[in-house]
Amino acid sequence: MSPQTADAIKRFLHAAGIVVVLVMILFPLYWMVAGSLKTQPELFAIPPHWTWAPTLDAYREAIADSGVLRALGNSLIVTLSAVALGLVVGVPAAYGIARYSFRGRREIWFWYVTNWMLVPVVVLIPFYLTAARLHMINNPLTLIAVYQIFIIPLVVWLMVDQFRSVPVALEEAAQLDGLNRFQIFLRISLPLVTPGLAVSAVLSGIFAWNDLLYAFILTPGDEVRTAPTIALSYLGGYTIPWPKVMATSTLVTAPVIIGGIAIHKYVARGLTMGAVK
Amino acid sequence: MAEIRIDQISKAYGAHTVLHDITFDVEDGEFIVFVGPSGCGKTTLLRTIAGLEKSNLGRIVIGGKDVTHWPPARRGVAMVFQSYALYPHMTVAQNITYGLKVNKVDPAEIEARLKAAATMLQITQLLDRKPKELSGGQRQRVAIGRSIVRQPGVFLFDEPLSNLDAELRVQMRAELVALHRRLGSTMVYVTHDQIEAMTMANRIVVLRDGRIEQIGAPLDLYHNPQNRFVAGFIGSPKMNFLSVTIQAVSDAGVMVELPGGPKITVPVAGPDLVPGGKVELGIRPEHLLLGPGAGAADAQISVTATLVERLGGETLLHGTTRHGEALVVRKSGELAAHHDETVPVGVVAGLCYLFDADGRSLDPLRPREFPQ
Repeated sequence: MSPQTADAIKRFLHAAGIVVVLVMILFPLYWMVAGSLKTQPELFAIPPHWTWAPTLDAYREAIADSGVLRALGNSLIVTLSAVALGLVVGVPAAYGIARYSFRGRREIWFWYVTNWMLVPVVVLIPFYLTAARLHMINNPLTLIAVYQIFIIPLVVWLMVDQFRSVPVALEEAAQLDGLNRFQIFLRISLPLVTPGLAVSAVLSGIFAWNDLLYAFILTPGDEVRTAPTIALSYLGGYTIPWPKVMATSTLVTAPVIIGGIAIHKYVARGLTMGAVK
Repeated sequence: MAEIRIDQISKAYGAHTVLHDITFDVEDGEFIVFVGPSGCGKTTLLRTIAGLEKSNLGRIVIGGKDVTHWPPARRGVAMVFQSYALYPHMTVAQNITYGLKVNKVDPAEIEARLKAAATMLQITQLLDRKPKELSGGQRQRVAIGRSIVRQPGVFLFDEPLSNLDAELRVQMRAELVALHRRLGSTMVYVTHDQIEAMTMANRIVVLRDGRIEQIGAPLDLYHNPQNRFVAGFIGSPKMNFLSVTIQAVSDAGVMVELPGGPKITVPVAGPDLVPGGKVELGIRPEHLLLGPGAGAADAQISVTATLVERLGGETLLHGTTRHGEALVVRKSGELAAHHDETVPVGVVAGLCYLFDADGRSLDPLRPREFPQ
């Protein structure tokens, strides 16, 4: 076999691999969107219909009947609040760990990072019991607080490296310019780590938006339930309205995908550490 | 008015002492250069004056005020960093004026100072650019501009030219000297480049391992180094050192035997020396004689050339003595010698230095007469 042939085969296998992965990722998305535009019988047609007359009935039903819009609104509030709180707490913490040396700094950093290894379901019952005692079940504040367990470590982990990549000389120059420590943090360092901030916000936001487990247990009420749990609420009774489930899922997923596409370049830059020069 | 008094400053990182009991004064308006090999403590000393490092012991007095425990901004000093440390997210104009804005200087005054500094440094056309759109030399000017507008009593420079290419470095060197003349401020400048030190300083502080080796005017250090380290550090190419044996000690000086047998009497005082002992003889490359003049010297040694560098205006001959010690001879003009040739090199006793076992320079019996 000539090297050219070997090369061609290699490239073919590479392309084939990419296609397989893409299909695995995109087909469920396609099936969800397609299903949301079908009727129930159409959805279950065997063999599947690749062309059909699309209908928005499922969306009308979802929005009108089940308060999907309200759930989306709840999700938006919980997500934005959780991300904002996580950044307000996590970013200064990361700055402290990056710039100050104090006893236990490594241990604190390690503790933050290892929080991510926590299996969510392990702490679910203690959280439920605590929230119940405090009469905080069905209170969005509970979700916002619980999400911090995952958001703050994520923010700290990402932002410590970001702050470390800002040259110390810049902060020293600012010191000589008469800025105090907080001004240096706010006006010199923070503007230089905006890619990292964006990545932290988006990843935390996706986590909070997507959470099903805690939302399902801690805020099950109709008034306060979040978007991921709403589709789940149809799964009772004798018939499951699959087009409606698909339409709801599409509405829940859309913001994440649109947001992801909008800032994916930023994310790539933020994840390549040392992006700040 | 901003004279600086460094009073018994010591600094240690854990068990590692980087500054040992440093004491000296800088006069108002003086251009003083800290020079030394890397790790000698010169940057730490500068940062201690700036207030970016805390000393463990000692006092720093600037303009008559004890600023030892003051934050950097209150000390009336401005610093130019090796990396320039320009704020990447601000324009040149914002970089220069940011400190003034933070300190709530009147906007009209800020504008006036910005204009003056920009004109002086010829960066008026760059004011709207971001640092990343500037060349190294331009960034350097902006960094200097940022320090000028604060009108500090003291300018601190931390190896500001080390990131520039050779040509630009020479140009900026001249500009900094001109700037110093124009402003008349006290300037403290750190470099590892002894040529920068020699060309810019009113006085040089030579540091090694956190200790002051010698303080003096550039030519004073060149002519009268107090020890072997300073002798070797100041001057380019550096001073030659030969290990020699003491033959006799008399009122006329110390007689030593050069490689290959010739003896010369170096006119220095050696009260503690005894014949048979070893000392080091130092002689600068430019004080060795080559060609027809060599015969007129007090002694001659044979040197085998290993490399002849012809620079046009001068020639550097690198060679080895009969004892295998490396030697460099510098001759103005051109020289016919070539690689592997053995040439006679003349040594003038009055231009030699002797260093004792501790590296101290032995005092000359009379002032050395350097060729004009």
